[in-house]
Amino acid sequence: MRRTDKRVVRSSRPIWSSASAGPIAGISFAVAVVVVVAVTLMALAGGTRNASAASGPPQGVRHGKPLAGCGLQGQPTCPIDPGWVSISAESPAAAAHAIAHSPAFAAMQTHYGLTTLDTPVLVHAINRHTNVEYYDDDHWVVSVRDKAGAEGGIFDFVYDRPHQRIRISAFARLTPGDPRSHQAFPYISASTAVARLQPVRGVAAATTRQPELMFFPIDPRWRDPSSPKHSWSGGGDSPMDPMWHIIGVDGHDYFVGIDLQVYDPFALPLAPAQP
Amino acid sequence: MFSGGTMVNVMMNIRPGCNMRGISWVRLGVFLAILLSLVAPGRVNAAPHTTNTSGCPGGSCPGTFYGASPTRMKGSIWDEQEQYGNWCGIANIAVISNYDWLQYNNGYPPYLSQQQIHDLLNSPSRVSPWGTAVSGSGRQYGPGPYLTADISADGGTDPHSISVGLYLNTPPGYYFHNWIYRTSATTATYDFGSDYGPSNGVNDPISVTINGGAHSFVIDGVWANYDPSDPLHGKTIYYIDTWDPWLNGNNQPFDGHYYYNTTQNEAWSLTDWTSLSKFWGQGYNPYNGYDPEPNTTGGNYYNSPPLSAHWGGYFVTIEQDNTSATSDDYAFDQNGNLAPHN
Repeated sequence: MRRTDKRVVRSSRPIWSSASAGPIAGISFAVAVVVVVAVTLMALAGGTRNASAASGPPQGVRHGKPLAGCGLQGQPTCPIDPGWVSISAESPAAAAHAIAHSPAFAAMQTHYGLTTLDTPVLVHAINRHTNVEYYDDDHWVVSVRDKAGAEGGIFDFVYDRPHQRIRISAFARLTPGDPRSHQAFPYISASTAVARLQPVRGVAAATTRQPELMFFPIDPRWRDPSSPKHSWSGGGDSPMDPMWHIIGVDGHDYFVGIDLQVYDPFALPLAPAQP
Repeated sequence: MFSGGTMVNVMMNIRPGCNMRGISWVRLGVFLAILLSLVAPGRVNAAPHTTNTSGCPGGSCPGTFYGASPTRMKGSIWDEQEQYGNWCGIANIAVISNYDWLQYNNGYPPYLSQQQIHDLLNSPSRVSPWGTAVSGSGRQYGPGPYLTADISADGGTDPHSISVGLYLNTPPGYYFHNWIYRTSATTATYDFGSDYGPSNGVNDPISVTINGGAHSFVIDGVWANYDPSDPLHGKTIYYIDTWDPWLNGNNQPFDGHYYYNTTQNEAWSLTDWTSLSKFWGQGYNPYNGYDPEPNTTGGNYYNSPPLSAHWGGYFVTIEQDNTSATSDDYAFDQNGNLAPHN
């Protein structure tokens, strides 16, 4: 018995041999092919999921969602590679060189279309033992321009001074509507901060020590709307949002916040120190 | 999948006998079929966005971005800063829904505002199969339940209501579940990181609960030295790409303070993502006064055994998968098994 293509609709007379039925045959054939193709597309549209249903899920895939393949019993440990880069000296120029040659810069530069680094700035960690590298080490922070020449983002690098190396902490992407996209970091200058001391506290800044940018581990209750700590507006909880630390001629420490208020050390909402 | 040329050859080879007029119409039909197949709408396996960088012969590697489309993300999140201080989960639902509808049919659905999403999750029809949550003391203490869809006395959206909201608000064929990783912060990060990549990745943004449950981010990808979605190949994840609903498109915070990110879109190193308590340096904290464990009415407890740890101490996300057979009411653990439930 001669086989027929099951894509063709059977009829009492051969469809293809009739010239008058040509257009109908062609369109019918096209419709049939479209149906087949659509079914194929639907099967493929489930991606590996539907294909997996036919042949079994790929190893390490459950419910169509891959699993890590590390970290569980019998599996390798999930790796953490901080991406440390050596820094030749504790200077903005050395930091710029190290940052520009870091894998993190390369990754973000490619993804966000970044070009030129501004001058890196050292932000000091307040002397607070937390056992968390991010809070215990100083940071190099630098803004970077995009292809349009605007500030495209801010890099934050942890600085391991004893080992003379840096690693990325974060890259914050600036957008055109952000005021910071028009200014290099830091966003409050040292002179602006120093100028706040006299009118607010009646004290001039000592000239024997330069003002320094500083950040600190903030009390976690700051993020709790019901806590009195929530009212803190001075910043300082991130190296990208630092305060200025200024020594007055009276020998006392003063901290100028992002709100341009002047704070005493005991006013800072510090996280409890670790033993 | 067949190429256009291959399709034509196959069709012509199996075509039964026909006259010249028949051949021309058949040929037209084949080409029409091919053309239609190429423009057929519908969901396709989401192509990942990858920024290929140079290879990594050794040592530190710049990493390749594996994740959702950055352009589509930007279009999805721009106006979705959370409208109230406890609406981070609602904002995340809006962002991910926007993204999925853009992916699905290149446009928005009948647009649901954050207020409408809130109202949807707070309607009487959204009571869970175990009932509504009750306020209580101890582990179950919380100011809520804020929404009818919560199964805990959460002060906002708990992971269950976020999962339900995503399922309700996204296109047909998109399924979401609460994933509870009872492992470590690093392992759990690799688990959600494996959502991204060409091999098996869903490549969809996800909602990730941070700071012990007090806030949540949208995460849309990771940087790695190899496809994170390939479970059979070793890889290293370097950075996590986060979107903070506390900030708007101009990076201005809801109340003037930058509690989490400095900008709406910020890439964090895996080291700091897993060590800072404002992120995953801590697991879900049911004792913070806002994010208790499930506790539903009439003793019809969701947890099994009743009132036991469900989210507490673990790393919690809401991710897309393809499990239509399991309701969005249920959660999975790190092995893809159902989390213990009543």
